[in-house]
Amino acid sequence: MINFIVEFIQSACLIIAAIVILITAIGILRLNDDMDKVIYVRIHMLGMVDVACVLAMIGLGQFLLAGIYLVLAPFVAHAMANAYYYSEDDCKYETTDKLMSRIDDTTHNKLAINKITTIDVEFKYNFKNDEIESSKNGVVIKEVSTDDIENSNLNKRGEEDD
Amino acid sequence: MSILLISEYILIVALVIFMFAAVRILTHKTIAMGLIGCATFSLAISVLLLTVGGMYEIEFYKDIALTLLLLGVVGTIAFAMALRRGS
Repeated sequence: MINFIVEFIQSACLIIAAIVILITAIGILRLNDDMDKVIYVRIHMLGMVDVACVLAMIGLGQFLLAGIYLVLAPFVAHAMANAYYYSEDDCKYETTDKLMSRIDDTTHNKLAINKITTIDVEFKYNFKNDEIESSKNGVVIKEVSTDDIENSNLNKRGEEDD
Repeated sequence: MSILLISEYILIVALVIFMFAAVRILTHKTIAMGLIGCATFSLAISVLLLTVGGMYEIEFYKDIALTLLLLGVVGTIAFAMALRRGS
């Protein structure tokens, strides 16, 4: 009798895990790639799969493995979101030059170039007229070439000689 | 056929369907998406190995699953750190 109850609980764990995994798979396949910040949505969805897999491991009798992965899964999700935030966030895709700009998630980033909101304005720079203008403070920073540096050094030496 | 065996088969089917979804994420053009897809795919493979190993009583499948799970986590975190520093 006890064996039957244990087997029933194991089966319930496995079936619940299978249902959650199937729902997530359908969600991933149906999710629109053109959404803003879609990667965070995917990380959130895959967190559900992590829990379902932990449940499946418990159902299969691998308790230690389930415990280890339950502890490690949040670290993985946080590492991926952190890496995306600091490396591939769309505030860095400001240039329309295909050689300079990295490949982005969707065409959203191309649209983001012209979409300056009050929040984004602090992060966005204008690359017009060979000047980089900080939109926040209105400070104009000119592009400096090596010739300019050499001329500047020559002028300094001339002033020192005088 | 016991209820446990049926539920294990259901789990295997669900995992295989999920692996197709993981491949869809994996083939996305962004690096971070590939990272997510890879981590998910390794997780699905690990659980699949555990299930198959339990069904056919193959002991070393559990060791492979444990190794794959731990190395997948370590690799994902290491690559995420490299991706962040490389920016």
